[in-house]
Amino acid sequence: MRSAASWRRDTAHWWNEGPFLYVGRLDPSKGVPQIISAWLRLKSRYGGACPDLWLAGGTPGEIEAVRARAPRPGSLETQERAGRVRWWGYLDEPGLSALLLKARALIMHSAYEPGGRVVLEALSQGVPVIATPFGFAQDLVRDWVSGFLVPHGDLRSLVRRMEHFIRQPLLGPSLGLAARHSAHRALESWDFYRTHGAIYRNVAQRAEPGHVAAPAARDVVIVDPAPRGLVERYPFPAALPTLEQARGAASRLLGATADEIPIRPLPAAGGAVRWSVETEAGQFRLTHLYSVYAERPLWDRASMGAYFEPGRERRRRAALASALPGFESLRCDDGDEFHLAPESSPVPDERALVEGAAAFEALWRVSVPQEQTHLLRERAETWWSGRAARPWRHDPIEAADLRPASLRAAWSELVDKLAQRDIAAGASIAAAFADTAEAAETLVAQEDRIAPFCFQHGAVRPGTVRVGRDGTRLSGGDCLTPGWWGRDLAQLLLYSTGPAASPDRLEAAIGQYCLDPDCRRHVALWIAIEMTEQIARSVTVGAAPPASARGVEQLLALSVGRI
Amino acid sequence: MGQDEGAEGSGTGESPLRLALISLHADPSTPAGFGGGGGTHSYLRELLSHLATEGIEHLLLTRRAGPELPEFEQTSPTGAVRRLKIGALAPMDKRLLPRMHAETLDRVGEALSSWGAPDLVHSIYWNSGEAAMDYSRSIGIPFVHSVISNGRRREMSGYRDQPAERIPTEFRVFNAAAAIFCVSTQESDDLAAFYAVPAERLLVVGRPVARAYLHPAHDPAGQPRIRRPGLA
Repeated sequence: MRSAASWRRDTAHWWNEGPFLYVGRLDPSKGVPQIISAWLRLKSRYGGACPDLWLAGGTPGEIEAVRARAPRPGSLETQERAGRVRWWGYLDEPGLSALLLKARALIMHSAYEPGGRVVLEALSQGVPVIATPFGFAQDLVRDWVSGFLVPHGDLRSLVRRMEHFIRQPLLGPSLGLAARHSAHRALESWDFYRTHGAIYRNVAQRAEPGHVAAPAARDVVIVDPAPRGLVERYPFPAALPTLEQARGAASRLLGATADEIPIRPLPAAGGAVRWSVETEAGQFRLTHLYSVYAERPLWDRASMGAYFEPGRERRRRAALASALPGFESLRCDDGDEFHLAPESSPVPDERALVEGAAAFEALWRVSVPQEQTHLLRERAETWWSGRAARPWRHDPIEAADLRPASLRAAWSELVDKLAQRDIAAGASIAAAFADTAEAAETLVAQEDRIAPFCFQHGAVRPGTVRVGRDGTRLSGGDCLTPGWWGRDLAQLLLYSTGPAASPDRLEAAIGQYCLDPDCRRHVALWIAIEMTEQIARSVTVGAAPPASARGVEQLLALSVGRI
Repeated sequence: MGQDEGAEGSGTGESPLRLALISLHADPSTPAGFGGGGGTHSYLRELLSHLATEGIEHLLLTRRAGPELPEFEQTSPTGAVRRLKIGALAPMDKRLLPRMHAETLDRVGEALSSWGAPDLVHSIYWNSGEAAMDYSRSIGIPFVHSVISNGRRREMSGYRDQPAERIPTEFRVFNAAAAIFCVSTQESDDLAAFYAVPAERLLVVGRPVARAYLHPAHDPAGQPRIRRPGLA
């Protein structure tokens, strides 16, 4: 029986999976061994989700010389045999162009480059570049705009920057757009041919070395197209509001004269900029949420969630959350750009903010699909019936069944996925559920009796847990968002106990956090679903599963009350 | 040499510009990415193609690195490459070229004497710059220079393999040239900061990009692009 990995390799178009690409000579100063080393680290970390590594350039003898210097030659050879590292040798321009079309990012790690034409060629073709800060890279590559600059020899940074492209699948196309603009504008500015001709004529006519009035050098224009509203980029520096704009918003929301409002910026939280506003009525926190990429790993191909979260949607959820019992209402300005909350609202302390920033790239961000928000709002409307005016903007609520976001639907989807996985993997995962499926269905059918939602913390990290007025709440780095109560806590517990936690340990954690039987069963089922999805992902990419089917079965048994 | 009267390359239209280029270590017939051949070779090919297109009369002087390479090649109606015998007819580490400066200067003088005095010399890389500087002085014409890489920045980047005379020679060449072509803004800044070259002589010219990278042969789905009538 073929393994899932071999099945995938035989049927997938390996050349369309967005490899990392190196192009250039194989001279020791080019840093090819470091690139290989960085890639091997990522490969061991991400398994099949790590893009392949293509290396173009060099003669067979030069390739062998580099291979001899490469770190971990055994691992390299294994990856070469698996087709994950490919040496393309010397290629002409159309050949290199074809490789660039397939590349996720160009990786260069030279000790020095006066120019580095490959960088320019990649940028011209819309391929983001990770390179050392020399020549064209120094002139044209900007972090988070057209690629990343990494100091030579800083392997850790190289790994981290390459990792961005694994964890954020839309990063390449987004940066590529700006990369292409930058290169094209630079080419226009330089005007290589005409400039040479003009200088030749100018110098030849003067014939006086040292006194030639050469045309002044033109600055290279770094283009940041910032297609606001089309592809907003994290961290979206071009669109952040100024202090005066924030003061104006606070003025509108508080009904005061702008000049009289004392306002000071607060440390930025992940995905938001904030200000502190002090008035006679109290202290407030003004927040502007901007668009971010949801941090979903590439291998999560089954995920249907959005990779990109517009700031407007996040603001809408924050406003909705503030309307629920136990939390202060937000005041939102007309333009939906800012919201104002009393300073007493749950907010992470400074330490949590710093930790949040440091851990930002290493954590999953859980987003709430739009239909889920609709459902939550519908319920919130019911809760607020007969009370004060609601602060959020009214959008038409679809009459359609909003169940797709429910536990019931998640379970159904999972069973369906597992059936497909049986075909793909040739192994029965669903068998683990045979004894418990019926009981689980019963539990799922009763979900309406269970509290429908809680406040989602936004990042699966124990440090972000906050205690609200009426019990444990999960708080995000910048705002509170409604989420599904069971799943949220399940993700938190699964994360905090580690991917290899035994079912017994998970059960103990569930017992510690869930005081009533319904809560335990519900969270156990969500953990089972999370673990099963992890197994499914592992099967998809041919990696070792972080959880066992036996563990899932034990959690399911817990969920239906058999143990 | 078949040049159109009044073409742009003729400069003022009064007399055709005659340009001598000196690139001792980089022969444009060597492809980039092969052995030590890198961007300099591409730079020369791009430049020579442009000179030919513009009808500028030019002669490129380079070192003859093997007997199989012809001593003279007509590369275009207005351009040619002449390979000079400097040292043995064999590949040579470019760091050794400065030791052969006197011999180089003799060969350059001979070649340009038979070709006819140029209006201008353009040198590429510092070892060629020294030859261009001394030759142009000897006959009273200006020279311009392309840096390609500078020793100070290389040194700062950890390279310890460059000859001791490189930086002093660069200093003289950079400050004697009528104009300096820099490939990047960083390089231009380096020359101003490390070699005290006046800013008005520094030009960032970048590099051209081949059509293949601007109009790739394949579409993003991997299919060959089909050229349709009426479309570029």
